[in-house]
Amino acid sequence: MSRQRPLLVPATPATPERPGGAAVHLRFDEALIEARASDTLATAMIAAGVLMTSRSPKYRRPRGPYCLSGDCGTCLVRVDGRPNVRACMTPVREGMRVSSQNSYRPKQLDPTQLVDSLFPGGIDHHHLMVRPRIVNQVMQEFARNLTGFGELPEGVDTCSYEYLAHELPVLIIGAGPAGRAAAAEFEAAGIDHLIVDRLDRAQLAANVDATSPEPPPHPPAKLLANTGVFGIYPGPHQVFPGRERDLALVAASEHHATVERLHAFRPHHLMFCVGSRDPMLPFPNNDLPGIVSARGLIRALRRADARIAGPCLVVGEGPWATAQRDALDQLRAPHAAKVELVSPTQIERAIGGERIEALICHGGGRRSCALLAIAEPPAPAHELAAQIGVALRFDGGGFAIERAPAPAPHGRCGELGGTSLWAAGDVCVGVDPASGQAAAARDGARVARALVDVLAAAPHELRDATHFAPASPPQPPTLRERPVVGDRFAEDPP
Amino acid sequence: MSERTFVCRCEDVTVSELEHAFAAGLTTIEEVKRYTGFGTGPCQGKECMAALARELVRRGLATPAALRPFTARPPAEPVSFGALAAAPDPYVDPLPSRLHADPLGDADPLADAQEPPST
Repeated sequence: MSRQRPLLVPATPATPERPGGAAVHLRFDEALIEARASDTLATAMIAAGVLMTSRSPKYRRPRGPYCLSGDCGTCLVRVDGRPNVRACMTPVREGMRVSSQNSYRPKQLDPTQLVDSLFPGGIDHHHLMVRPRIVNQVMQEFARNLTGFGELPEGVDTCSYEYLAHELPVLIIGAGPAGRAAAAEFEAAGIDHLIVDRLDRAQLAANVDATSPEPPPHPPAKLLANTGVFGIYPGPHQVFPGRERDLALVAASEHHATVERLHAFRPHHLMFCVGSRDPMLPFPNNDLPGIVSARGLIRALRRADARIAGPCLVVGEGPWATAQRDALDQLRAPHAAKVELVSPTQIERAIGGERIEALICHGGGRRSCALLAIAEPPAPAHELAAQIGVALRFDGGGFAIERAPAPAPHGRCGELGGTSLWAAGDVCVGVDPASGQAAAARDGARVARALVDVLAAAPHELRDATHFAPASPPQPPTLRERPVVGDRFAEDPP
Repeated sequence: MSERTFVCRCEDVTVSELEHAFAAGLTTIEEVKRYTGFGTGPCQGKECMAALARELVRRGLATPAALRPFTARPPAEPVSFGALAAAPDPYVDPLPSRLHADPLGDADPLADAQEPPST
């Protein structure tokens, strides 16, 4: 297979009117990659056929991006001296210096890859080299130095940090179809709110299905993009008597190239519109670089305005997989081979090295592919709701939020202190991601209307949002440049 | 390369390791996590937990009603220590109403921070 041929090509040639087409140059390890301004690091690397970003921690196998939407942990790279940056969430910049993590260079000669062949039966850490004790200690020391995630950042931190606190009637987490539809309802009802999403505006715009009339096509007016909610906590004073009804604290981090802003929201009503994730499908060698999630690939292609140029297969069955295959087939370059669907039951194993080369099917059939898109039914993104004890139920795909039954307003799923919790869209029991974005949007709007009714009966919660920045925020200590020796900073001179 | 089927790619947990755990009588997600280490990598179960739950149900080792996810803990998204250090102490500091209320001019939360000019 040709490694020179690009896997993705631009949908439209670069013109001065379309700055998304302008060329951007970056370096990945030894390779010089030419990308376009609309690319993320992950799409730029896939386009160039550079799929391997790291080696796995235990068996030292090649790994690359999978979900392309910020969920999985295998596209982590080192960018301009900063470790563990998600390639799929990072827009490209001219002169970016990117390197792979957890692998010794040159990648082809990395001696640690022998671990995979030396232990064909697997490494059982409960029994392997546990006794005698001295062997165990040597092995532990060896394994600790061999693996891990990234290395310490280089030099001084060039980022600055800010803090903002907010008290507001409604906070929506997730600007997908459900969140957008809910925000539109609040906008129409004149209720002050904020909607946060960890993705950037370009990715959010690309994620909206252009063919359906819902959700609203315009981005919400009160959108905080690049803002990932990382934790939900009881209000700090909630433990004191008489303060049980204090508002909960929703903590989020807003990432930009040189600024990171910590947000502390205290909402009267918190709405989960967090959507769903794409799980992995188990089959032999399902970890090869080039195996990606189908939905993630579709969204990444739309965002980067790119088309598939290499051979691509979709794995899955049922209406969900068929829909993903059709969408991917629309996104292939005219000269590329048709995107075909393979049933998971047909797969014997995948083969390849630093990237996938083919699928071996039962009965000996070999199907070449450079990209293998997994179209398993999505699993609800329950993690944030689970942190605060919202009721969850396994719905066949994953753990979904179980909302309160009928007498309660539609969408209500609990409370934390004085904050009432709501959920809408794919994350809930009974909303099937396969029924499309319009179903999630309708659910979001319906929950928002129920919430508006509740707010009408509680005028004290309706006050406009207030935003606070501390007069003299604490700042992290100034970092001095210290050389890194091995895996530690050099000791201070005496 | 050896032939391996992964359930958790972050921590390299294969289906055969899951089978060891099942053979040891561990059939809840929390137990399997503690035995194999799945879900303890950078994705924190976002990619693998649903795959394991589906596997448990498919093999008849658990009923959907009895399945529970393992404990979810912050941070669910990356946040740097520098940003956390910028937060006032929630116990020592006054409530927001007594904080210096900056009008939304400079610190407009809806304004995207300045991206550096590309060179």
